[in-house]
Amino acid sequence: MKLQHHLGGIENLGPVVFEKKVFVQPWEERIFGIHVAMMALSNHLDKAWPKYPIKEVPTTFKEFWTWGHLRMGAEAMQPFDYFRLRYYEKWLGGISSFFVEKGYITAQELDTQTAKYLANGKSNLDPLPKGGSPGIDTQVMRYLREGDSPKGQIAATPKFSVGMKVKVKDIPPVEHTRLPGHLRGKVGTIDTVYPDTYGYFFSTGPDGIGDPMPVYLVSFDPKDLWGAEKSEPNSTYYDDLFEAYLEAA
Amino acid sequence: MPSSYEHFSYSNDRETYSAARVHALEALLIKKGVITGETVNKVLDYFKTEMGPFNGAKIVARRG
Repeated sequence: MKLQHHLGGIENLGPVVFEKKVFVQPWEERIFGIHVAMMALSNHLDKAWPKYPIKEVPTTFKEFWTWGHLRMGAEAMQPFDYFRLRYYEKWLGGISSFFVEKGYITAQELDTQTAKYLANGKSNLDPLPKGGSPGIDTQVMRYLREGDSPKGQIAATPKFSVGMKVKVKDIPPVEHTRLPGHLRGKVGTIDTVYPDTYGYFFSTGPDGIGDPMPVYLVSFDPKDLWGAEKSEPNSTYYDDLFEAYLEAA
Repeated sequence: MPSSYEHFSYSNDRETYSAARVHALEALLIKKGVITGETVNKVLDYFKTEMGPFNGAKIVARRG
């Protein structure tokens, strides 16, 4: 099991922090922007919906990059590092390593440049280089406005209907899953059968998602998840789940 | 019961390091032609001015 999938129900974390700021440090904006640009320039977008002329975009970036890739990186982390690092610190580490692994930059040049800025002092970072092909930004802005839809082009033929009891499968975790650990093996009730099919960015292999499939809103009795003592009375726990994660109970 | 880890703290240069690191990464990506010198600013401006809660606020104001 990967600890990252089993966060629900962990005790001794203290009260929930209702931090409302999206970015708690100014630097976090920059890695968010880099990630968005990578998604907007991903090499799969000529097959996406809408189809983007991605091969003609004058970027040197030629990789497949989606939310799924970012999440897969976080799931691959040593669990203690996962807990030690803040949300955008994980992004910064994961994205930097990706560019190094793919050969766009070397670890040494990143370290050298970082050390140079650190020597300058916090308030004295050199200005960023200017310029670049405007066609890159045209694609990034178009992607922001038009997106990349996961909705399938096939009609749904759902296996389950409203009111049916379903059991969440306990598929051994591979590189990536969208199945929360605390639901594995639990029995819930189909609350809503969504009208369309939805795919995931890529196949997760034996985990079972990728191609468009029916998706359900499933309700669970919190007592079945957390036990009677830890559950709020008269409450219901809901989760949207891909059909591949469910079996008849 | 207070945790025995309550005195754990992160180093003071944690944010300074990350700020320098992300600045270095962005500078290198611009230099290598992955993004332009304006890409990240444009992405952030989009979320600040085109897409965000203020759009909803505008719609509500118009309907009122």
